[in-house]
Amino acid sequence: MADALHFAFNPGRLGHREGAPGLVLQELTQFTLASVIACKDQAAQAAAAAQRAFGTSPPMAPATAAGNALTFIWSGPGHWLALGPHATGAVEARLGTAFGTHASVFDQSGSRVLLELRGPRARDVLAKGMSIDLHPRAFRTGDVAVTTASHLAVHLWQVADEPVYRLLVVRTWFDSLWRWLAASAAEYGCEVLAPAPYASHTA
Amino acid sequence: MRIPCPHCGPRTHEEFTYYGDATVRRPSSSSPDAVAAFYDYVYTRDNPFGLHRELWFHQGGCHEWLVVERDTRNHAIKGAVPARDVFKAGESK
Repeated sequence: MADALHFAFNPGRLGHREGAPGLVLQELTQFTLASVIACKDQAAQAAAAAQRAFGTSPPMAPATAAGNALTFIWSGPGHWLALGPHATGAVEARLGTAFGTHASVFDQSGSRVLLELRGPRARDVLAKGMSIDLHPRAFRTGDVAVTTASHLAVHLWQVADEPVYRLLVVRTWFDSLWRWLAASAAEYGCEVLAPAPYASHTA
Repeated sequence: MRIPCPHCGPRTHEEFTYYGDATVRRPSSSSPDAVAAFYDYVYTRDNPFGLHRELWFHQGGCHEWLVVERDTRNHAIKGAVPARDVFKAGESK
């Protein structure tokens, strides 16, 4: 899949040019993404199956849970996204084997653009188009929100206290999201980094 | 107007779609007065002045159906519960 930022902007500085950038934006590529939806009244069994196969229990509340090879991102009751580095050989098959009859698994790898947002004004940039409370008293590292940004449905989660956020948006909506993001970040200065392969932890 | 989603937390109503009265129940199609009962079920609605239980779908969030208790006079929201719990419990009006 071509890098989503390729048609948006090349790496470089956008907006306000003095001082350190308020937002540092990077697309993360080469990831595998799958939806995992527990069958009716099977969420507990699905969680137990994940614990056995991946060493972590998918969260029952809006949070992330990192396991071996992949991270579960809460997406709704009994509904998660499994995110991991790109792996040849079907992760879908591995997930399907792990969950058996307790959950339905579908590959979503090409469907989303994954962004990482950091910098001293990252929270302010997001707040311009999101209605949820991003203040640390309400949204912390490990928390997930399935919500809207500039009227587009996104998954947002925080991976570090600085704060560092990651955001998943439907690939075909990325252009719209990008226009809002670039305009919102302009007053603080925005550094766009070259896309990097997905890694679960942040440097 | 802010809706306290039991799954996601408080969210703006723009994330939700309104699906109307949560108190009506689908009648039996085998009852002798099925036609009249279905007419009521589909078309006849009260226009309550005060608290009302209604269905909202959280399409901008967890994709769950909720039963929201809203005061039609001032949009004050008293609470929201997962619709599946309401219907499992066999609750009616």
